[in-house]
Amino acid sequence: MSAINKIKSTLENGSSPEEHSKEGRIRSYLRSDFIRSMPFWLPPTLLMGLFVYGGIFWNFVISLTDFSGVVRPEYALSNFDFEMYTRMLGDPSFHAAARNTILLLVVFTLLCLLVGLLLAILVDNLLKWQSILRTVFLLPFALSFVVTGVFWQWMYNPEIGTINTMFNLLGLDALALNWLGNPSLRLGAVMFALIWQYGGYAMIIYLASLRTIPQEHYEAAKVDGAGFFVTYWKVIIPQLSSASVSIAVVIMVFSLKAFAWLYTVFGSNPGPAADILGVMMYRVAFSANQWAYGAAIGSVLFVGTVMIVTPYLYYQYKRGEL
Amino acid sequence: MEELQEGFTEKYPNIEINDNPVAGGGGTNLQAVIRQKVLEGDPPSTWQDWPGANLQDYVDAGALKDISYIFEGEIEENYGDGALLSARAGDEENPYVAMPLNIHRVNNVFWDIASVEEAGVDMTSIGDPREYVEVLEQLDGELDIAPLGLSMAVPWTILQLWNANLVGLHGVEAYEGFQNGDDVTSEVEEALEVTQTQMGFATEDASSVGSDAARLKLPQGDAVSLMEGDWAAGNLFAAENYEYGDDWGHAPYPGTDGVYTINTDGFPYPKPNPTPDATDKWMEWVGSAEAQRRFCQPKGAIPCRTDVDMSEFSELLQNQADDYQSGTGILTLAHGDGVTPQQGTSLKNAMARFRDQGNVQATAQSLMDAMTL
Amino acid sequence: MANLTFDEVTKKFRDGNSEIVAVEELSMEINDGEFLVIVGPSGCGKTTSLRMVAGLETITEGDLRIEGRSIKGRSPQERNAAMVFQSYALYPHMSVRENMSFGLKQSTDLSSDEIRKRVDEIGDVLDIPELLDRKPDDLSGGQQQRVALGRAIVRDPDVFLMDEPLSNLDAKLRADMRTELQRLQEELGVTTIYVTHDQTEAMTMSDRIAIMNNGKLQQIGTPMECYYEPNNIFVGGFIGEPSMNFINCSRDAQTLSTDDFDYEISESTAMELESATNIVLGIRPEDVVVVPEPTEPNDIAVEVDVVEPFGKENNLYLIPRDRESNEAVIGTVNGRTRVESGDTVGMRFPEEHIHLFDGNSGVALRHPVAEQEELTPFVG
Repeated sequence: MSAINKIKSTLENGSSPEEHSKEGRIRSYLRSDFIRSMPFWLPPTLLMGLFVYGGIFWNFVISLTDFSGVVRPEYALSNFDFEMYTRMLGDPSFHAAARNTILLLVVFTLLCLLVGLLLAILVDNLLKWQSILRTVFLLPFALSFVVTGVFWQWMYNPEIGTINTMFNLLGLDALALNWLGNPSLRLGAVMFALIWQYGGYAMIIYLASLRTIPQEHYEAAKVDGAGFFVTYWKVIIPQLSSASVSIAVVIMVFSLKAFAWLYTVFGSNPGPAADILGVMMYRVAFSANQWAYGAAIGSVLFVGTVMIVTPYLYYQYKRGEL
Repeated sequence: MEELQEGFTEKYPNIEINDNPVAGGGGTNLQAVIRQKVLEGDPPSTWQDWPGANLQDYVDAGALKDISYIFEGEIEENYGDGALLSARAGDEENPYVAMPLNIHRVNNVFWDIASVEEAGVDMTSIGDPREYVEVLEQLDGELDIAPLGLSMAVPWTILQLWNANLVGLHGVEAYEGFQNGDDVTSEVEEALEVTQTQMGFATEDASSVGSDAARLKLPQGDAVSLMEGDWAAGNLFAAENYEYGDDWGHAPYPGTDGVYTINTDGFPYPKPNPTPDATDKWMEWVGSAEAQRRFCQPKGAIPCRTDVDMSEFSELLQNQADDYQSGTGILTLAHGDGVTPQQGTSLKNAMARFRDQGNVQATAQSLMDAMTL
Repeated sequence: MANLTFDEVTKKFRDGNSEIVAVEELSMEINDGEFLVIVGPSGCGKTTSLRMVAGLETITEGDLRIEGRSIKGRSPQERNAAMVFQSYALYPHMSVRENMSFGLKQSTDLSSDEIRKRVDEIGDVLDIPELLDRKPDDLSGGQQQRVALGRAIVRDPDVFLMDEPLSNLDAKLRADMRTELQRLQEELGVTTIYVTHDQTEAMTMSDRIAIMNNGKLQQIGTPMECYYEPNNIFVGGFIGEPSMNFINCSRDAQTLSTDDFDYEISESTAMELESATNIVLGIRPEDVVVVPEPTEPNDIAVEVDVVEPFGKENNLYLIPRDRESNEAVIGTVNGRTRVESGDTVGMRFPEEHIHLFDGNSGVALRHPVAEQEELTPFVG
């Protein structure tokens, strides 16, 4: 920065640096872009730093105490320990929630990518109805988790729900299961509903990405003798890799936030079959007043998020997009 | 609530009530905001909450005022024992820290009279939860509809059912033992087994419906009986062409006749209090017979006081009030009176696990562990 | 190695409720090993014709045959044609080697060893062995062009199809690649159809040129035929740079008259015109003779409007005097001729060099007569 300023001030004043008086240097420093732009970036930076990163740090500090109930903890180094974290290791609720969170993260994300990709290819190959279908598939993405939560609670109702009614009509009574009630189906049912909601998002991004692939690539592949599937598998889909990465990151972050959906459907306790860390954190902190434990779960979630986002940022950085 | 405030303003026209509803999320958000304010030493004059052990955190923090001076005398004499225990945050050792206003009974069974008669069952003569299970079996055999309406989407309804079964099978001693953290493994397990059997009789969509929807299974003709707090009567009264006594009946939960499982609503008295004089007057008002009459009748709960004129109350509530006066009051485990927030959350956790995994031994252990928190 | 037959091939596109005829009854024969350039303005149907051979467009009517075998309705795989695209269409996620191997993997049973060997060979032929492991994005335009060529060559196809492959290159590189392409094509001897809108490419590279306009074939012939004996006004105007001068005339016996001048033709020429009276006189700029002043009967006094110097020659824009016409006749003179804008000179159309077209149909009625001797093989 200072080197640039020096050059700048030299240019502005038309004199060599040696001749510079101290005052002139200060004046030119004050006139530099760095200082002059400060009113624009400094307040947001400080506010961000304080409320976001300060909040994250404070959350971590709280997780080191044993803050619960309505008695303020003593913030002294001697009081800090990792008891909340060791408690996690022995807590079956945490195990279940962590397992479900990871499952949601991996399986849901992969399925979402797959569904989005298939939908995008399907829509891209349609001659008619493209824009209507695009809207139809994207619409659920625009709905809040609360709306879709209530909606799917109805859909999954084993007696009057649309899904089982449909299976019964088709004579597939064996498939008319208790989707949310049966613990072994619950997480799958949750994922299905979330895919319904986010598949459209993945589709739109893929579709936009497909549109950037020149028609000639399809034609070149065709002339090269590749069929429909080989063309997509070998020529088109590999070119969607950067879209896949961005979608995956967004979907993963959303899956960590599936809290609202689960809370709408199951309240603060979805049971071990569908509990996730977000819901557990809320329950522990806000229903049981176990602030420190909740903060510790929050810290684990934060580390998880960072672990997802960092490779992405690095990838973008390497591609020169950051 | 308006009725309560109106009455207060009539009595003390120079005290202004500054009602600050907390937006969104109903109860939980309110709790978080209040806790934060108490932590900051800037509590409101009072707020509506579950008294009982639910307030233990505040008591531990020294955030609630000893208001024995308000209770002593007239209120203490006229309040039932259970309500007074709730006023002491669920522990005899505590001073009075909150003013309970109304009581809901948790141990009830409701039924659809037409269905019961069709099946040839007498719901009023069921001796205990095991007999109730036999009745459920009989209903299941005789009728096409589910014998039991129950919400299993949330764990508290199952906890409430288990609580009633524990008392129904083993009486108040088992309940007290459980609350004190004694080893009551066999009792707890037996109650769990009965609960598990009962869950099998619930409507098919039990795990997809909330508690409101589960209650409506009766007037809709989708279920025969219902174990619920007497707030459920509100839903039944509200149903069209569905009359108490003609279409639906009520009794104490099998085996819990003479026991009154108490769930109160009331007002904690925080300290330091921004308006001690006005808050004193509010507490006195809430504790008065007139306030409780005006508030409880429309709410569908009974007053904490035993000297309230019940003539305007429904027949059902009159019966409940009689039972409250003659029976033993115990504080509910499924809500705020009998358990601290930590205990309550852990009990519900255990029940959610029980619902999904059905492991009686493990659940009994985690239930009892929860009470040591 | 194959010959290719277009047999009354028609391609129609639907556009809403109307039909657009992109190619109309195209018939031509491309011989084994021939380098055919299809040339025409944009929208003339040249690319569509090429794409029908590639199998990227269906044939609406007519038939396409390779070695007498119909390829109508066949998959691209069965046609054994390789195509070079204008944009190269290299797969960006594959290395050059993978790009070149892809077609072989898809359409042949060659083992990966054989494929590797062949890619290496073609890499050597194209002088790009060091690029094989790079990604297309790391290559210059010219290198990408070579890779695109290599991808087609490595397939060892019956037919090469090239869709304006040089249009994305800068002028210098384009000239080099023209030569190189020609050399390669001769070496490989593969039947090639090359589509371009650039008549220079058509003239310099092809064995034969097919000129298309509005979906119809106008003429197919060697570059010299097309240049000296254009079938019609369109071909005459399209081939040649600067393009042929056209002058509308009305004919009375041996006199062609325009608003500005009369032009007498010989009796034998007039015979060739038969009864046509509406005539278009065409003459190439290099055949226009510019003299200091009109001396012969057919000479026309003109003013030099613009001089375009090219060094070795000058293009003169000549406007008949006493005439506010902006229809200039272009005449090419030696670069060392001293002539300036505003000069008054004489313009002469030697009769042996003029083209005469029917003004109504545009069909050529008479070609220049003196060409044969000029086409005498060059003997060193």
